Amino acid sequence: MNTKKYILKRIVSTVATFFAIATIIFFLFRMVGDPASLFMSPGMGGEQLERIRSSFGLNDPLYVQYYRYMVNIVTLDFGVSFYYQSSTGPIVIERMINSLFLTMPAILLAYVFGSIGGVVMAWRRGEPLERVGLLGAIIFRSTPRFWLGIILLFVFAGILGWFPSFGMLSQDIEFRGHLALLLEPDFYHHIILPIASMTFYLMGLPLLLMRTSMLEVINEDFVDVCIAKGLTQREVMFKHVARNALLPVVTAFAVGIAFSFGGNVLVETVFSYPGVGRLMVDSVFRSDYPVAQMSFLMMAAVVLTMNFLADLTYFYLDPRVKAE
Amino acid sequence: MESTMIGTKTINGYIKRLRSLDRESLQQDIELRVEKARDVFEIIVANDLAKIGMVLLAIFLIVGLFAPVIAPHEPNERQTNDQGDWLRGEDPSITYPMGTTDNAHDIFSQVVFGTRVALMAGMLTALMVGGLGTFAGIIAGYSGGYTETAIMRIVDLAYGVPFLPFAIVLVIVLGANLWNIVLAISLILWRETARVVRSEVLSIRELADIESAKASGASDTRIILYHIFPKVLPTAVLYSVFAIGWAILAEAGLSFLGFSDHEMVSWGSMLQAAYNGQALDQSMWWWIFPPGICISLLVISVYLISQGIEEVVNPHLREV
Repeated sequence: MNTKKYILKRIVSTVATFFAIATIIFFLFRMVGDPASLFMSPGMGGEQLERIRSSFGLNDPLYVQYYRYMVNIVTLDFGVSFYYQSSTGPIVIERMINSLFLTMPAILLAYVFGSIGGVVMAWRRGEPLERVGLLGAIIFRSTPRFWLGIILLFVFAGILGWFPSFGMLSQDIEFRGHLALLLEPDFYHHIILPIASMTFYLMGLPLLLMRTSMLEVINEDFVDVCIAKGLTQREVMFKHVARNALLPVVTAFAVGIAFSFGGNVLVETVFSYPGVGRLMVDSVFRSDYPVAQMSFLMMAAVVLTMNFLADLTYFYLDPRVKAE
Repeated sequence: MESTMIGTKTINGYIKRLRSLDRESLQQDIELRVEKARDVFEIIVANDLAKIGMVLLAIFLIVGLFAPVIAPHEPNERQTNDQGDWLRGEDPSITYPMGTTDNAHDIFSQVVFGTRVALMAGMLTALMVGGLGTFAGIIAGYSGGYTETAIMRIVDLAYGVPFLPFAIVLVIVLGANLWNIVLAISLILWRETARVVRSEVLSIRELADIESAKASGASDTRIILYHIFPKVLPTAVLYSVFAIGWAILAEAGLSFLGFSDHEMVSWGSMLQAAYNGQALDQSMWWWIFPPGICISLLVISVYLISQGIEEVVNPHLREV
């Protein structure tokens, strides 16, 4: 298939999927509750409530609201938050970047160590080390992230007192933009525990994938040639077999970013970290549609983009896909 | 007259022979299948890790089944001393093997009853994911054309939805109970089963025995039921077993966030109570560790078994 045509096709279907998800989410959120109740105070009359409803356009028929919502998405204007009483965009984007700061290091660490571990496991096939690795991968994947987070909090923040137990920054330090955050040692002090609790969980998949993929490649003829050429076993494993076995892991990496983004809610809750997942859950409880919707859509956009990138990498790296 | 007699006799004899042949082949067929099933079972059992998984799972099943007998107290029963005061945050003792919560509940009984919720969530999701995913995958792969495109677009949609956030929204809309949690999880997880089953069906469709079945006039239903379904069954089972693990973790996560039936004690809701109930500040390790260890062990047992099934599906993983 033609490269350009393939990419174009994938872009169109990704965008279409995004709008389908946006539609589902619109109707789901309308079923959650009445956002006007957020503004209810004991002395408030029905008349005042009506005014609030109409000022947010909640009295219009559903299709008008839906139309406005779709226009908002296309123009990237997500309206005013019911709860924060300010524009939704900056609130969600700030939380989104906070979440990325947590997810990216965790997933990078997990995939680097996971792939190396997978190579070693395939290399030591049949030895006790492989067993240990296999068992380790299964244990990592079976341990709930939030529970591991609680345990880490319990041991390292509670008993040993090495790390702070909540938030992104200590109370006396002011948040001054994300660039300043990256230069702030206190920030790193805060994110070590949440990152650790995510990394362990995320490491299981690349470990298993890399091992399986290596075992497939190891049986191919070119490996015998490499050995016959007199290359050391380390060279054969890491340079030749691993490079050919990496494809599924690379694809899983992109999808993994997408996946862990959704699962962040749990870790963010345990560590009271101001991320986008936490924001969505809070906003759902407050019936703050604009924020909840945009948070969800941003997460969906990340998932879709990553899936798209995964497909593209596959397309570029594996000539067999192109031939189809 | 005589010639027709001979004719019927011959025909009767012929039919009789055909029938016995048929019976023989049926018997052979059954024998073959039993043998194959035994082979599959032997491959799984030969895998030590899978054996450990089966034993672990069996223990959890027994605990779940006999929960009311094993648990000394009701999960939500307040424990009091002789004066009628609540026993809050008691250390583990002989009466309370895992201590009590800050609301004077017996933790051991809660853990035992929580087993039921986890097992139910896991098994129901596996059934739904296996059923829905296999059905969609076979239909998509076998029929092709617009049907295939439509089904695969829905699969793409399910892949684009962030898992936990979607489950949260759905549970809020439909109401927080176990069935809705299972439904929410299944609505996402069927995607993987459908995709894998479809790609298998695509290659099975090209096999000679499907061609010959078609040529001899077998209906689509018959081909799907007798020729395609048995071939994708191992994969379908494997992905259903994976789904058990996912579902238990997701259910625990949702309960931890507070999206569960508050009448029903689950391991996730126990951890939520512990986290909110200052178990961390008061170093109540006996409240934090047991539910989490149980979640891990149950999911581990499932993954160990799935790893044995994987050797059936993927023969090159088998050690020779």
